[in-house]
Amino acid sequence: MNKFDELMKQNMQAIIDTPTLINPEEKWQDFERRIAEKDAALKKKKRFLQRIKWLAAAAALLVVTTYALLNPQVVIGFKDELYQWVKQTQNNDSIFTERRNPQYQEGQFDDVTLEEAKSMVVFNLVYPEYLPEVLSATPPAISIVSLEYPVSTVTISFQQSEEAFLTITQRNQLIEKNSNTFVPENVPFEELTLQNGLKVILLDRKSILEFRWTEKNISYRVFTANLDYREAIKVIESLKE
Amino acid sequence: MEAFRLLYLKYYQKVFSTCLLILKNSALAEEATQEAFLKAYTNLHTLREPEKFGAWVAAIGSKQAINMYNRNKKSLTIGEEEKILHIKNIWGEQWDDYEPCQKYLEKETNQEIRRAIYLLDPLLSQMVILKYYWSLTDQEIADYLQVPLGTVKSSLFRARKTLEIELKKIYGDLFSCKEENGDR
Repeated sequence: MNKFDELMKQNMQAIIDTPTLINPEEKWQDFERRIAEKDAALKKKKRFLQRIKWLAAAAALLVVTTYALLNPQVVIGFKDELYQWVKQTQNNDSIFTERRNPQYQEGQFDDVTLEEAKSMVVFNLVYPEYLPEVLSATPPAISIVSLEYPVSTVTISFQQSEEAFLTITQRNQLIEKNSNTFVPENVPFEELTLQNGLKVILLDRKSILEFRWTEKNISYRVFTANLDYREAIKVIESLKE
Repeated sequence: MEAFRLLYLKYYQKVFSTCLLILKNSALAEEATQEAFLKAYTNLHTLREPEKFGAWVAAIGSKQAINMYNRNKKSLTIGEEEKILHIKNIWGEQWDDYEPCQKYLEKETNQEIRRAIYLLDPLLSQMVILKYYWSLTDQEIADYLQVPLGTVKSSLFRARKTLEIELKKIYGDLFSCKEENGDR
């Protein structure tokens, strides 16, 4: 060891080994407190990271579920969509009708034919077998509104002149929905039982009559204008699938 | 925990003195020391040579002190004499008794060396302490401080040059005093 190193070593020892005015025992208490604080912070961090893990897992699940919901054709590949109805013939026989995986499009479609309309909805449409002369000359205008598939609203309108018209609206109720109909104070209404046993509610709005009823989870509404009341009843009684 | 307490009590003063020599501020030195022991406690499993525990904690403390110095540089700017006075207030004055001339000269020499050490730049001071007090090799200093070996070597070279200039001045005075003694 050269002289320089020797001098440095000696003086360093003199500096560092000289006792200070600080008591290490007192400092140890502060040190223990810091350790406890650090442990608590570490536990808190672990809990936070655990929560982040769960949130990340939940977010991943949500992304997968959302993707699946937005791309329902993926699900259809694994499971058939099946709709069934039971209907009665004129001879009172029962017929089971099934529709499997119907092709559908969401949106509003105007001027479709009856056959096209039947293929675009998941329930059997009714159509009148009887029409008064004043409405039977021209084919009906049929439109479909299907914004919440598989719920669809089909409107069949018969209008010969500007004055007289008859509109049949059919809507399936496959999803749970509550609704209220407010009847104005000056509009008289009554419940009618037709010859075929169907019970309908009639709202009499002077020149416009509104009939409404629900059958096999399908809600029906028929509006007529400038049409004889008995003629309207005959049309409703003749509705067949 | 009890074993660590014993180590803490054994090395606290030395680690504190190491930090104090770098920072020249007792409050910051205390903080750096506590942080050093806290890190040592957390990372005790990473220490490969348990016999070098003291040097290891001192290296952590010195690193902590350098960081604190850099953060508080502006507020720590104090004059040279004030630094020495501050250090003396903590360590206390020594060599107060009457001594013959040779002893007196040695005392004067050592005081000048310590004065030169006190006034070293914090980074150079850190290297000098780890090398001459804690007896770490250049490679060990580089490993503990996680700096390149070249940085350690160049810092030590600069520290040595600075201190040698001071020592040459002192040796000149010392020799002249010896000649006076011989004449008598």
